[in-house]
Amino acid sequence: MSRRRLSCRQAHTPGLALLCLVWGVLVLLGCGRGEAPGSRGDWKGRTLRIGTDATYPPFESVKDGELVGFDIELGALIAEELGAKVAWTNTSFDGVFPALMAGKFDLVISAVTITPERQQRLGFSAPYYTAGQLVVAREADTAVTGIESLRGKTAGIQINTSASLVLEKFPDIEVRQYPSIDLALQDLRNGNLAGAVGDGPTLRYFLAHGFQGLRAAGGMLTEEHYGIAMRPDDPALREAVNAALQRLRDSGKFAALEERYFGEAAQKAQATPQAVPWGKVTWRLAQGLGLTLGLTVLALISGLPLGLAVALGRRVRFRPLAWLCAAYVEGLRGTPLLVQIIFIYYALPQLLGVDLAPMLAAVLALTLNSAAYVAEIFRAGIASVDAGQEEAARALGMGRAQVMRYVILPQAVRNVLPPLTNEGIALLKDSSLVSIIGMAELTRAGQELASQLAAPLAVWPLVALFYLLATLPLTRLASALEKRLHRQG
Amino acid sequence: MALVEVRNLHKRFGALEVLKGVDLTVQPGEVVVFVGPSGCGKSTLLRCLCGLEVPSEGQVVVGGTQVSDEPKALQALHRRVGMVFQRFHLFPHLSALENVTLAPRKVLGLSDAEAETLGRRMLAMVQLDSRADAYPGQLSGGQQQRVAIARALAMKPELMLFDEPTSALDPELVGEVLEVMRELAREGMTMCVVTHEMGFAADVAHRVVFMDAGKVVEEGPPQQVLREPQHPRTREFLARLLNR
Ligand SMILES: Nc1ncnc2c1ncn2[C@@H]1O[C@H](COP(=O)(O)OP(=O)(O)OP(=O)(O)O)[C@@H](O)[C@H]1O
Ligand SMILES: [Mg+2]
Repeated sequence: MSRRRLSCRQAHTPGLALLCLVWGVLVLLGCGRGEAPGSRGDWKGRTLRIGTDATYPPFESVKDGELVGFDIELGALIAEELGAKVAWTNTSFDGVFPALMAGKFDLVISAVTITPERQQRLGFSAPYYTAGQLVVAREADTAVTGIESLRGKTAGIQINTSASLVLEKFPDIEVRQYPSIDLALQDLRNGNLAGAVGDGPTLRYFLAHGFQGLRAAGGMLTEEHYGIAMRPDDPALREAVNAALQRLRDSGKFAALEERYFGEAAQKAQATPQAVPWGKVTWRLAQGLGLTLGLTVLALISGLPLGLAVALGRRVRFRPLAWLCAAYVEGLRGTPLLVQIIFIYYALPQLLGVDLAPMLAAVLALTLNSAAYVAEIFRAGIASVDAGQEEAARALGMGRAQVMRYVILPQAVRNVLPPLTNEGIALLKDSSLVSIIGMAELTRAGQELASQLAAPLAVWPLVALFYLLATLPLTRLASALEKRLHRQG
Repeated sequence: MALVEVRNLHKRFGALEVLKGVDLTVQPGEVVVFVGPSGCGKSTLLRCLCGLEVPSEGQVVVGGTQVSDEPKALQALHRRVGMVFQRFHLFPHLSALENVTLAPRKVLGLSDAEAETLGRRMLAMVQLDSRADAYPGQLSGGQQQRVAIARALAMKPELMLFDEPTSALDPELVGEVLEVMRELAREGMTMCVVTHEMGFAADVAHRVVFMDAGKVVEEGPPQQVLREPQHPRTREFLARLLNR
């Protein structure tokens, strides 16, 4: 899909550059390796696994907990043609191609624009949809009639999307980049932009569904083709998909699907913005919060003892073990959590030949990461205990382990409660990064709702509130514990 | 046979030589008081006697065991020598009774009941049986130091070391700690005490050792060293101490 990242070379943040690095490794490892289920060409009775990022209506979004949209129905039709069952994975767009390469699914149907860069890495079906870039402006701002009239003004786009290719040709238009296009539209409505540039079909959907006061300015600027992406080493699957697409066109089923989503009746039906269904939104966010809390608690339960063990490991007399523990801490603190998650979920299974469920990979990554921070917290806590304590204990004849267990640690634990609480809160918020491997935790749930309802202003404050509700008890608990321990001292 | 035998003890911290050849013998039941200017190495000598520091050169033999850096031997030595620190170093997360019983339980393997009986007896000895459940933070300095003494005594040491046990105390609390130490001496405990309390030295010590710059300068019975010091450094030091 053209709003999304075009190629690694255009990735701006270090995290994304690293993501591409991992992706590169995966391509090297993944190509020509592992079972290629499609190579037999016969999918009867088997399950076709498809990945998508359901934050992009009308192609794919989540409604009442179900995947809906043009691409979703298309995937179902293709599976039907092949006689296969279909299993969807909803994951963030950053993660969808690494997962494809790692063999987590067979196809990506996610409004993916066919670009030369992507063709170097991925296999594509024949194009199934023609889209293009569109300019959007405020209704009241009649001066904006198309891309030319944005010269000397400011336009918003989604970061790293093909809109930037269009705007490269207009150096006198100032470009402001947003993490998602609905945020650019919001800023346009707030009067901070003269226009926004993005994918036509999706912009039209947003205009119809929640962003009143905005209008399309001029026609499509470009022509782009969406294709179904697959691993490049699977020509049999590609032929099967192309044949299925052709049969769908021949039978008229494809035309009927197009009509339902993009025909005149559909455009009219879309034109009535809906009220935000607060009950459903709250329920979806609560589910996301449940997952966020579950992940955080599991990661803390296993990260605390692991971190403590690593902190103690750094003090052992056997130097190689101490070095190993130090290297562990530095390694995990020195790399972004996002990269660790990607590595564990996508690269590790390739290297070790095991398959990790997303939940397991997410908990593992969060555990290993927080253990490194917990280890440092414990190390500082142990160092903060007066040296006289250890001497007094040793002078009583206690061994090193006894000194640590009965004298140093009980005091260290008391010292580290505040920083451990902070770590817990940080972990709770950082857990949003596991959305990249398809975990629908709170932030991801918010993303899905904001795009589906075209109502970022309604959804994000609620998401923030939910995070606050989750962190407040944590701080309370810690200060209560602190007080209790203090009374003893 | 002597309980403590120190021969030609040198202790260096990097380039700094703190003890420069100390010889010392302590007989069982003897009370030896160490005096000397700040930084002359008194604490370091005591720490060598209980195995918290290992000699750089020379020998320290306590009750027939030589101090070396072998962990098991060191731990055995710790068990037989009690140490009382200037700043108490009680375990703040444990009650007075738990402070006293921790090592007997974990090191000697006493049962909880046995350890408690022992602990209460030790606390009674320092007149603190009524404060058994108090935490160190709830006790005065003098009370804390008495608990620290009880804690060391609970391990039934053959030798007790005191490193300026009253220096961190308010003047009105010094007496109660010295009283406990006097009582210990009366019972025949072998003690090495670093202190500036000259009254205590005169009354209780069998011998006073004057140290300066890492060496023993002069030693003898208290009357002799305190009243008629032979060495000019000793005289100078005592004059300054009395004029304070
Ligand atoms: N662990 C150590 N590392 C380096 N230097 C040390 C160490 N312990 C003691 N010293 C130094 O050794 C010297 C003697 O210290 P020591 O504590 O034995 O003196 P002291 O006679 O007890 O003095 P005070 O009356 O002030 O307690 C001092 O200069 C001190 O700084
Ligand atoms: Mg000293």
